[in-house]
Amino acid sequence: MTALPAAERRTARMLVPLLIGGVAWTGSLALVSFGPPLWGSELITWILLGVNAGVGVAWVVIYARFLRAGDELQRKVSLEAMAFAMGAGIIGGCALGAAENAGVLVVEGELGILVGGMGAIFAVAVLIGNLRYR
Amino acid sequence: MKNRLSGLRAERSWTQADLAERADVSRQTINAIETGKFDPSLPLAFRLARIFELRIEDVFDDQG
Repeated sequence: MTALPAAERRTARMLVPLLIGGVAWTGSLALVSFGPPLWGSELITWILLGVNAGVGVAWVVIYARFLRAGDELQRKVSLEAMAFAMGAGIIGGCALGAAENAGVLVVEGELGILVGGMGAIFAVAVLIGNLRYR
Repeated sequence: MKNRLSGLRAERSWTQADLAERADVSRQTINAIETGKFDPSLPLAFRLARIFELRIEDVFDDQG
């Protein structure tokens, strides 16, 4: 009998494209965010925005395949983590917006903070979920 | 939900990984079911019962 069950081998195989997709999307986002002063062309910026969006869509498709490859417990952990991240994003985003509207807080780059925060919460929730069912 | 998975597994000298391979789930899932942390779906419960050639109610016991 093999050391790693087939279900685990399937998800392990999906990790590399998932990681590549994440790095590609993050990299293309950084490029389109900080690159325009370097090339000074609106056309190039629009093209790179399109590339970033396309890479993002591809990454979502890869993640959906990763979820389908996992077994029901793995999908449960991912679903719970996504719920926490989404909830924190909605509540955190609304709170940030309300604070800014009220004039008590001025936050630069709110969207980046929100997305980064949601990503961090998702990662922590996946880790906690996996430890919980260990 | 109580279950007899670990005992049935031990009778056949299977590891959790062996049972996970047969049920096409992760070892973590088998462990979570055996320790009562996770209740399997109906298709998975039936699959596990078929692996041991038993009825589902001979493997799982719904305390409710």
